[in-house]
Amino acid sequence: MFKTLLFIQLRALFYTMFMTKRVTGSKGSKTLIKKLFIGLLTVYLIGCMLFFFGVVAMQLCEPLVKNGLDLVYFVLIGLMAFFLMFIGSIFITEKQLYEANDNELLLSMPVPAVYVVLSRITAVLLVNILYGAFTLIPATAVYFFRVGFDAVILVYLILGGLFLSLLSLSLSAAGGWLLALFISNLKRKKLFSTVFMLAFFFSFMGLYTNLQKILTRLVARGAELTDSLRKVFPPLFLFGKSVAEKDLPSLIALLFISLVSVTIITLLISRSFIKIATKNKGSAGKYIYKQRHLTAASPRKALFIKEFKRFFSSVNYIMNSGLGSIFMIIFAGALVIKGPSVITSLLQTAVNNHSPTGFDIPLDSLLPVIIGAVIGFLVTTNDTACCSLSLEGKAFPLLKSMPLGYYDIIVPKIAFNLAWGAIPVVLISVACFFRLGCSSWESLLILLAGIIFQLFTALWGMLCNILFPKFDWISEVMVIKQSAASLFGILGAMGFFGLYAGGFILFSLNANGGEGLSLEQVSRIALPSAIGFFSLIAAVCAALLASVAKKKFHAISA
Amino acid sequence: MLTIDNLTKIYGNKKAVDALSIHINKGEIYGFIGHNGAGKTTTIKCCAGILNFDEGEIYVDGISIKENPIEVKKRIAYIPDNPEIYEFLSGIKYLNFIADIYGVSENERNTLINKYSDIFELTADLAKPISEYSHGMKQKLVVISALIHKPRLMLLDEPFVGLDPKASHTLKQLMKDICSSGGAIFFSTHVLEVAEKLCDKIAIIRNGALIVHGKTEEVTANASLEDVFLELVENV
Repeated sequence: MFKTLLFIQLRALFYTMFMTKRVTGSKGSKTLIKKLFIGLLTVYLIGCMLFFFGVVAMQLCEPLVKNGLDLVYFVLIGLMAFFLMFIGSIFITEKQLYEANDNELLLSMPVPAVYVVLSRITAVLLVNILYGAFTLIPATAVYFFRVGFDAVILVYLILGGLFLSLLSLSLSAAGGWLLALFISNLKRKKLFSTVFMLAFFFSFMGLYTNLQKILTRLVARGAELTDSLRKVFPPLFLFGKSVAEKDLPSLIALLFISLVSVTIITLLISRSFIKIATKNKGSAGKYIYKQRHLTAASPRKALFIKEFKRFFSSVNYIMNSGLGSIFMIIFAGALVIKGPSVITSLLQTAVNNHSPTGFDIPLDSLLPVIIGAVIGFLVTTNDTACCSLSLEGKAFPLLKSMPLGYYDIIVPKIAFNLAWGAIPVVLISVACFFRLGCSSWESLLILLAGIIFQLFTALWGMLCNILFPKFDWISEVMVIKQSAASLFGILGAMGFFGLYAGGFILFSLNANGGEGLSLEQVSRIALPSAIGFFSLIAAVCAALLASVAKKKFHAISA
Repeated sequence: MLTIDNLTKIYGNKKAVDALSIHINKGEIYGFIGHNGAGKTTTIKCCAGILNFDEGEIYVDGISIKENPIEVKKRIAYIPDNPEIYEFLSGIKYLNFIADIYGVSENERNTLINKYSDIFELTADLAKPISEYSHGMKQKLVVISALIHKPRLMLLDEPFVGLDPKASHTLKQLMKDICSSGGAIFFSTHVLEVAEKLCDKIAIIRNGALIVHGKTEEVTANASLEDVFLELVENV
């Protein structure tokens, strides 16, 4: 029975994480190409994680091991693994244990509660082990590369890692319980998720940008931190000690702490499982309807407002299709606060040059071009239109039954995409004029370029979505992250920007009879030519939307 | 009111609807019956302008859906078999959205939304996000949204699924009211007792083709509709 339950849990978990199953089997199974693509993407993502933690481990390993601080190295690696496991699994735990849709179904069957809880906890444990592996595998490889292979250390690392994941599981189960308690009292759960995800994303970005500084500090104060951890949270110290010093008593102590904590939490949850599973999840009393006068709007305005509400109701939609504008707003704020130094920092980050005096290019003359390039890059990630039609999902037939023309339906989607991108572009151009000393002509060019870029992205995205619609989804993630339209929409827009940039660089190098353009010429030509190029492509997209896409739209039968 | 003339819809190499012709007059409630996959939903979707069709014509008030779909859609209301609607909106915002799409005046929408949400006992839940509605509540909301622009023709696909007995009764009464004020109803159902009691006319479809249609009493001819239906789909 336990095996069956675990199998179901793992399937559900796999499905939640990768969302690869269709709603119905009527349209056949996935093609080989799609499977291959998902496989490659998974390998790529795993590769990125391993590479990232490998780089971190390398930065820690050399200075610490050189000074004989192997214990500190393993404590720090253990800390990272534990943190990743805890953060990575707390939401899954909350969903798996406290919000599972099949709780009532399982309760109606002759299944002991402890089996259900154990199967769910085991599934989360496997996720924890996976997250732990992302940190521990590269860290171990880096360590063995530095000091040589040691089979005993490897065994201690594997066992220590498993025990840490057990401990992390018990804490994430407790954290999940607190989270469930907090969320159940919230009126606007989606807003909380959106704010939390954005805060998490930007914290991660902040951590990533300041990684060098953090690692330097960790190396310098690692011994101090280890000592604090020994007092505050001994399991991490025990993990480090057991691996670094091949200390069996420490490993046994870690096992004991982990087993005790996981047993306590399993028993506690098993006891309260029925209460948790049958608690009132409704919203009675939270929403009180007060009659008020309803105001009218035109159909297009109503559809625009609907797009607006849909966008802000979904954290996935914001994170995957509208992040560019958030970055543009931050960029505009940074320009206002820090002035031109933001551009220097950006260029330094872009070329990975940590020397503050690493540039001999006169930035002043190229400022509008650089800002235009930044906007162009960010705008490509601002493609709400490329999945907006698919997101209609099963409501699409109802929309099609309404007295709306083709343009009534697509224009609000394009307009929302344009508005979402254009507002921060206006902020940036105003910042350029008032803070960076750009001329009114340059500021106007930046504004125009930003708006044209966004218009092109929106039209291109809409075109992709009409040509590759997907309505048979269960979770919107399938449309936002995995559909052909979002892939072609975002990568295609990036491709066009790359094409223009490449073409312009080639032209700049070979113009003037092979001598190349002067910086002054580049600054004069770059933005107007970009505006011309993207206006032309936007016009082509609009023409395709009026012809091929229109025909396809009318033939769509969701 | 609604004329379906020789409608044919082909999916791949399968005829989902095969040369189907039906005429529905003002004031008629027309029931559409058939087994699963018979072509009922496809026919209704073609009438609602959701699906293109391969042959034939569909007219509403003499207006061709092929030539002037927007004008036709202004006159009709479609209720799908599954009330999948925008879950990120609250009930009241959804109704206001629909009123905007159909250009219902402010005064009229306020009056009608209040009236129908009271009738269906949904008023207290209108501030809730639709994501928290039960299937039946969603169905009620879709029914209300279909009524607020005063359609002349209602196309309903399994409208009673998920409704509680009181809401079902209310909907039947509203269907009769619409017909008595000069409108018409074309609806599919698997509940043969409802069809038998409610419909002026009935059409039975099998494998995309119409096998019998006419006035309810003529179709049933002193037998129950269930017996007639079973005999027809098994033996014809």
